[in-house]
Amino acid sequence: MRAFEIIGGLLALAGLWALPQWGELSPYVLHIATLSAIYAIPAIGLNLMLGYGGLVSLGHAGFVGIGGYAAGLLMVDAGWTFWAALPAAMLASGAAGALVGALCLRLRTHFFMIVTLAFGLILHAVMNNWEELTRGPVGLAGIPRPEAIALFGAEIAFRRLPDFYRLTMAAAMAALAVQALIVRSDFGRMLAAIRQDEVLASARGVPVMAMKVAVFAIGSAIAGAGGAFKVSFLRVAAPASFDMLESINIVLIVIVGGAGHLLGPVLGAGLFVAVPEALRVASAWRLVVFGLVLVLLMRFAPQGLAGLAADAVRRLRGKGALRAPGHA
Amino acid sequence: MSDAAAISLAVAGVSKSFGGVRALADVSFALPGPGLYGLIGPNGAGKTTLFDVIAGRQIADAGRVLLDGRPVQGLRPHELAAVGLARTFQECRIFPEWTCLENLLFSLRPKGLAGALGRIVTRRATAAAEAIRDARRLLALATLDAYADMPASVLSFGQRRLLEIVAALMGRPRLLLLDEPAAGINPGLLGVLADLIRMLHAERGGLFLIVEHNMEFIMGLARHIVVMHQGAVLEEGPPAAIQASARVIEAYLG
Repeated sequence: MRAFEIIGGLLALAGLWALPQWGELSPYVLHIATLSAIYAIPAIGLNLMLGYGGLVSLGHAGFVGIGGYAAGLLMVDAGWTFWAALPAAMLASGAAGALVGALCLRLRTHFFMIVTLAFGLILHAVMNNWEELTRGPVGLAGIPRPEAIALFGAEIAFRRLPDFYRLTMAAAMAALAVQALIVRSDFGRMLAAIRQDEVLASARGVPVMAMKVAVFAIGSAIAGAGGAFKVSFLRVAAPASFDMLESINIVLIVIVGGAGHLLGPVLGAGLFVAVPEALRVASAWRLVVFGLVLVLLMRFAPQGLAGLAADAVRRLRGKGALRAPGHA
Repeated sequence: MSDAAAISLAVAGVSKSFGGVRALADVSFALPGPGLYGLIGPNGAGKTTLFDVIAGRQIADAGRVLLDGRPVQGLRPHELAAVGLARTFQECRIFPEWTCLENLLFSLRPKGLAGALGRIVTRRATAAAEAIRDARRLLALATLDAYADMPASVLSFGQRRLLEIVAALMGRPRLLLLDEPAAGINPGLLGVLADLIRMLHAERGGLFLIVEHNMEFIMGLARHIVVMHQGAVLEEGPPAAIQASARVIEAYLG
């Protein structure tokens, strides 16, 4: 039955990889798919914090922004390649995450939420107002797509959408793989222990504070990677891409997708980006639709899309729903 | 088993105030070796505060806590766990999403952050077959073997308490603090609980310090009892001497 999952996963991957070759598809669809992958990356970072560690951060887009601006500035002002700017962006947002985490993770849940919200607002204000560095509200323009690479003798030119799409898919898959490794490790077990009962986890020997700072840094570093891909895709880094609404969007993606499920952020991002577009509901209505979906999901499937899927698989296999929810 | 044979706990001159309320006033006693010890006292005597000081949840204003003669006051709970202390909680804490077996096995996993990060790529958090056998045996002793692979959230309160105790013991602590193990337990099960604690102590050794309200329960279990009253030690000695002490009787009745 494990083989069933692996084959299914490989088929889905092959299908996604071949998406640009599906003939009839317009670049529009590829655009949507690329954007979904780009949203999935920071959502995976937040899922580690929120879904597995129980840390609700309302300022996640700020850390996406740090990565985005770091990558953009390094490419535009310092002339770095995308490949050098990407790890630097992750390092910058990861370090910022560790710093903010060390400052405010001592606060209990709702106070922590408020402080992360404030940090998101501060970061947005800095992007808006530090014009010498960030170019202000109009944004930092002229960010290039990643440089072409040669693979097995064939040139992959990321300035073309199909290749860039495949790059973001691969990046999202890499983030998923990192997430899976973390969740299955001792580190992941300690995170889950903290989410279930912080006091007990501490009594059992888990260094709770250090763990929280570490997962905040890791989640922020992954967000930073998402930011680098986002600005390279949009060719511009603008404050509006990293505002409070965007932070809320990422939280919604994680919750609707299924917090604490490995595939939750990917499903959530796909739904968040693709469905309203497919319905041709303009962006003004996206949140209305999404809000409605959120209400329905929380009422009928509090474990999100991934929880629904897991239940369906269990039912297909004829196993009772004995295991507790929340386990991916 | 790391030296459960040589363990001692001493509290020396511990004081703790909350605002104007003096919860602990110069508390001192020494528990010289492995065994079952009781800590009793009327409501408000300071038992829980003292417990929290020993377990690192509260920092004493003054005084020292000595584990094997080494001062450990001021260490945080996870650092105390690393030197061999485990505890249970009055309100009973377990990891509800994990199975009973997972609750036990988690006690055995290494908890260092750097090590855990280093092992992310190389190894999954799986347990050795021997550890799993040991965990299943402990669950059987606690009459929880039928629930080994079910989430701990399905257990009744009394069963959770049993799970909490065996999970704390799974890590082979040298010092185990049990905070009112009999609280909220069906009176019919108290005998089972006392037998389990006695059996586990006989098997695993170490120093068990049990805070308890239920006199009958603790008198039958502990070999040495410390009585607290109004934030200080009132009396200590074997159960028979405590039960005969006029001062103790007065403190409880007066």
